[in-house]
Amino acid sequence: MTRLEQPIAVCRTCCEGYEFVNRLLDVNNLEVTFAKRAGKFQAVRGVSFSLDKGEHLGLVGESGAGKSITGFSIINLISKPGYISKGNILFEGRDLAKLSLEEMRRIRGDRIAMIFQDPMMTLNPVLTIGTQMIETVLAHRRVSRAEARDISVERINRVRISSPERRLKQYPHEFSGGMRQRIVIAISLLTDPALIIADEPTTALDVTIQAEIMELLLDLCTSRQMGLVLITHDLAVVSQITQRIAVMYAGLIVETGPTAEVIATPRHPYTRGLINALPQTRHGEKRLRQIPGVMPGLRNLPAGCAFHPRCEQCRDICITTQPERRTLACGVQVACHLVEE
Amino acid sequence: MNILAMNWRRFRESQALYAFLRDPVAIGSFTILVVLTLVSFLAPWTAQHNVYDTATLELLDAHTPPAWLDQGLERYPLGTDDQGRDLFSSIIFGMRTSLLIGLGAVALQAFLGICIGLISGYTGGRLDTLLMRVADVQLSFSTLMVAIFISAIFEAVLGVGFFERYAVLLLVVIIGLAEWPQYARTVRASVLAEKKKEYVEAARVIGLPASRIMWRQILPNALSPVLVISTVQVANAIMSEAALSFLGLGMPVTQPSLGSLIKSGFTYIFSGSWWITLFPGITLVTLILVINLLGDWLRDYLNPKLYKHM
Amino acid sequence: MLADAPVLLQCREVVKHFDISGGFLDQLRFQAGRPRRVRTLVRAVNGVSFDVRQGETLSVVGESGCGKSTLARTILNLYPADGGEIRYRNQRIDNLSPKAMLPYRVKMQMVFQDPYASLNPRMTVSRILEEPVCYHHPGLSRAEVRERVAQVMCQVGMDPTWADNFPHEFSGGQRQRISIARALVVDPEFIVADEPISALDVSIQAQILNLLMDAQETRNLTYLFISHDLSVVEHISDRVAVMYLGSLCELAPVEQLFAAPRHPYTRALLSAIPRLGAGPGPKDRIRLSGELPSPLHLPSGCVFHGRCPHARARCRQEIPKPVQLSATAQVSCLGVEEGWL
Repeated sequence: MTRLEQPIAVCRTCCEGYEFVNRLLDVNNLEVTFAKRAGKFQAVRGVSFSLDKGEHLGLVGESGAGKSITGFSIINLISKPGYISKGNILFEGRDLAKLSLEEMRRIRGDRIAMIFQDPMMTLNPVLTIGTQMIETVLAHRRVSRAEARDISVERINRVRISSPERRLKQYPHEFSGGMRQRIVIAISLLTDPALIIADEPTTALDVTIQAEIMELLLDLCTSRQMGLVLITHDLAVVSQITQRIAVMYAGLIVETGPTAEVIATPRHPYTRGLINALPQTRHGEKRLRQIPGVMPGLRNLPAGCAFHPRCEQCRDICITTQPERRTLACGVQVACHLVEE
Repeated sequence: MNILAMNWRRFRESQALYAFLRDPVAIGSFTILVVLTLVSFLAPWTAQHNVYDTATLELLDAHTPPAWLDQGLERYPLGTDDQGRDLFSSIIFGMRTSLLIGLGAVALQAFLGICIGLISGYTGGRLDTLLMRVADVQLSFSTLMVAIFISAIFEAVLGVGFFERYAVLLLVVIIGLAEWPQYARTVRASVLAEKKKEYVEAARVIGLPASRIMWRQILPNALSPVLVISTVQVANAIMSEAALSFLGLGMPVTQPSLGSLIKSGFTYIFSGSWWITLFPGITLVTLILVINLLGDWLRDYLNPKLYKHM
Repeated sequence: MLADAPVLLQCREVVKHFDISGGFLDQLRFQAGRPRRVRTLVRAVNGVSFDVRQGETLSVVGESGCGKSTLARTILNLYPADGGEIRYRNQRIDNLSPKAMLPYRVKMQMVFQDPYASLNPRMTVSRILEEPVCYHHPGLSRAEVRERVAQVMCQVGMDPTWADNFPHEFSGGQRQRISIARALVVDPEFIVADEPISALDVSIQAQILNLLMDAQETRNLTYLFISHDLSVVEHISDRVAVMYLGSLCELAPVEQLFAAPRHPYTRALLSAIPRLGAGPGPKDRIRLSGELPSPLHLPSGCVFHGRCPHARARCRQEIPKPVQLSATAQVSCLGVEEGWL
């Protein structure tokens, strides 16, 4: 087809004990600041994570934890008054945080695709699916209209929607919620991106449809070696789809590591609280183990560890000092004073 | 006391005050409007002549030009009209009448419109269809036409003398009746939006009667668009009054309003007495402009899409 | 214990249809050259029968559009029922006038889904909570009302000194507490909770669920709990009713339903729940073919036959009657009735 930039393969063994063969995305110390009337505050306060080619990462947290803003900042979709105030985002060897709008536009929707919670964020209600898909292909590839159409048909097939030729002529409102999300996935696949960022892709959908969409997304990403950043509040979904998980709280990643390890033995008190609060975690007792209190607002974060007012094991050091992220032998990184080496 | 202090604190920290203080146009318009309103409502003290007191009129001083012109007199800073009334005082008294009619008419419109819109939106069904069709029919006529129509009926039924004596009240009724559909439709639209919200269902689960839900739960939440159109409607009502008076269907010449002043000067505009029309005209334009600018600001402020990033 | 508790609420063949065809002129259609009046009906609830026993938590689950919220509102007489009977303590309530309904308004209360829309933004918390008390007990003095409100606020974990604040000054979880307090303040015995936690974050969900369970214990409440989250339902319920397209598929005690679902739809629904720590890879999920039909055009016979993997000829023609499996369980499926499922 056309010349695609090959991802730069970085072969190195990380000193942190986790082997990165083929690094796709590297987010280093990312800070996103919002300058509002009441003053500046940081919605993301120094987040670092990385993603290999074809790896699936789950970004988990409650609303206001900064997970969506982190996702948006990767493709520079942060709207005013927010901006990236610090850190860099290395993707295929380039720093996305420093790209011009035009360069960013070329990468966005081509090498990186985004799937939103509401399919109508991506779909234009007054254009047919076909028009939207063909235009997307033409915007990123030098192909004829017929070829663009063939690509579109192939992608609709790939998301397991029947009679793709007919679908191209339909408008978004003629599809159900689940089908719309499939179409959005088909659109995101048009340019064979290296990375898909999915922001709560199934939150608005029913369980049976959620299961279908998640299965589809997993199959596609695995078979095409695409990287996936899945942003969600649903730990159960993340545990089924991703290899690695990053738990965010108040603008920071508090715990990250292999999904199975983190879910089975959560080390940060917040992760533990979150998992214990789920009704499906059985303790044989009727009452759920709740985390007391609410997440602090980003404008008035407590000193020290942001979680300390809600933490049952809070000590003196937690109130005064913000914990550093430390890597444990099992590959898990935790930002907590209480975790033993 | 505590609640008062709390409300004051809420007001001081409110988004509205903040947005207002950052908008010089809004501050300017508001200041001018306050000054004009104060001056006109304190007319007996701010004006040198009581224009209603015919004994003070000097017919010989009629058509005196403004003070800075050759034949101008110190006593009449903006000159006099054809009856020898001081134009400056007339404008102040006239503005008072115009503002009174504007506010009164809008109060009547708002009362009618809110009642009809609320009932129509909340009950729905046939009553809603009926009331809204009536509103549609009235809206399909020009407001001025409806006002002329109503005032002609009033004059015919009540007689000209009666009409002149109660001109202010009658104009309020005429303009009020002519423009209620604007309110009714705005209120109905926001009632329809509010009615679907869960707090209304919660009130029904409590068992509150429909009238109480309408007036105490829904109405306070449906009022912000009413606030916006109220400003524009005050301006519209003042203009309607001016237009009616100009056409001779409004305020009689003995009781000056901005419209009737413009009309009384219009006859002499080509015989050189341009000031009798010009100064009331400028006042009218200023008044309407500042009200509309304030209305614009209010609309922008209440439109969440425009201010959410502040 | 459940089987011999007295029946609190009885629904018999409850039907609710919505006419969405608009005014008379919108209904006119020309068919074969003649004007005819055509009505478009959304068949939201179609002949649902079940009992709620005193002291139990009966959950109604189903996907969006299955009619569970409509059923809840019909039971509370917010929508007039179009057919069937609703009895409360053996008294018919579906045909009562608003005035005759008043004694039941104190007994039956509701908690809503959206903590932002369910509280009047122009009223302070104290006014929101005092209004129901003042209205139903006009004889109480101002101090008595305040006392009662303060007591309920304490019970739902709110500081009574916050009573003079407006709802927008609170977080989502706190607003939901206020909403629960408003339901509790009239001292009801039956509460309909319409997705009370689905708009909340995970750690807050546990708090609200615990609050609901505590209130049930101290006040001997009966819940009709509407939800789409099956793991929450599994935790909180005594019995579960599964709805599909306005019909009740299955009703069974919670252990029985989750261990041995009988209706094919219940099986499919349960197999789609994302389980924490299940890990990636294929699961034995039951895949449903086709799309959810529209309640505008209900399928003939069993509403599920078009997507049911076991459907036979009889399912297409005959609407299945509920089969009583035990005193507390029923299922509406011809396969179960005839014994081939």
